[in-house]
Amino acid sequence: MSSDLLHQDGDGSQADEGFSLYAQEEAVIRRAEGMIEQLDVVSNGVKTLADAYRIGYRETVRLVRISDRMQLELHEANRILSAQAEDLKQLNDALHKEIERRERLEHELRRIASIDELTGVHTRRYVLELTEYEQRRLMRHGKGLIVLMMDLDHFKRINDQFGHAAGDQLLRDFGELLRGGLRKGDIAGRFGGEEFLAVLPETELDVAESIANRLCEQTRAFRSPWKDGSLHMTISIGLAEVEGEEPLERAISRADQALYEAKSAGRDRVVTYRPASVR
Amino acid sequence: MDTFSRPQTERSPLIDFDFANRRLRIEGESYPEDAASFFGPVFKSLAAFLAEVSAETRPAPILLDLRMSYFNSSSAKALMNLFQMLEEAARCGTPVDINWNYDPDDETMQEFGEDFGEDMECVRFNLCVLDAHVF
Repeated sequence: MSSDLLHQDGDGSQADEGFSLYAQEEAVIRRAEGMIEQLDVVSNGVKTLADAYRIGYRETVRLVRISDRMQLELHEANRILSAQAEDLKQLNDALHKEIERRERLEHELRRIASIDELTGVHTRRYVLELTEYEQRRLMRHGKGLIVLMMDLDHFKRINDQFGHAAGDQLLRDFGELLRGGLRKGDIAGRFGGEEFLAVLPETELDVAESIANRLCEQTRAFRSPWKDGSLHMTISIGLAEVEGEEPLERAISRADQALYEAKSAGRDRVVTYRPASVR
Repeated sequence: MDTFSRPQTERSPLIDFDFANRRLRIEGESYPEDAASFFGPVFKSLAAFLAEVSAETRPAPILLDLRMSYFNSSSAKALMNLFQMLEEAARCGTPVDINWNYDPDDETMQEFGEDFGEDMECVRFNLCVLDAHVF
């Protein structure tokens, strides 16, 4: 349009040939106008970018907020879980302690049930239990199983003369002599009162006899300090061999019979039950 | 302003900026009720400090020690803002170290540290495993 104005200034026919003194200026103007249009495009582009950025950033803010919320809930749930785990651990610890306590108690009860408090040898019940096991083993190894019944001689006299404390002391002393006189694997127990019982597994009768005799001698030689002097005691022992699968009571009763014979024969001795010896 | 500090709370970390000695410390869990209002003053104090540092001719090194055990997304954004401020200072010539401390069995914090470290060009971002016997 502006070039039309320029053309009107010069000769019409010459202008049609495209010659103009101001072609340069015209071109600058056209370029500038073109650039103005470009600026509009750029400014629209920047505006679009800013809008997109704003939308994106708003979405990010929203997502972060949502994420914070979820994280808070998770974190709290986690904390509750940890607290519960801690509670459980404490309960578990307490439970373990209780179990240990009970095991100790059970152990102690078993000890009390198996050990005679005064003499330190086994209780009658425990000896019978152990002997039952030895009897089953006897079926396999076939070697002898010997029962010893023992009774402190004139124990009632000691009690009457020196008092129960003296009696108890001698019972304790004999318990120690008995335990010391037997071999590892032999079973010693208090049968009741001043009566003791020993079971010797895998033992021939003559070996058992010599063990019993030695115990008899050691008991006789033993002196138990009492006040200004000392107490002494003797023991009578009856021996019997367990016969195969017979009930243990039968062997005990034969050993008892032999013990009775030892007592009748003057005490402080060992008598072995032999079918011939009892008529 | 030689120091800026905030005590540790259940939901916000300990902030201990010792500007005089150029040692900055952030420790604990971070999921404040309002992250902007918690971290706003932190940014402000750090920006003021960094402005002073930028005026120095030969600025002494700055160390930021972080020991985070938990943080939410907003706090992650806040940490990234802090890192960018320090990155800018480092780009302008202040030596900056960031120590990212984490428990040896805390894989999450280790991975976050590795992630943050990737954005640092001028800051030296160090991953530090905490000694198991110390805590």
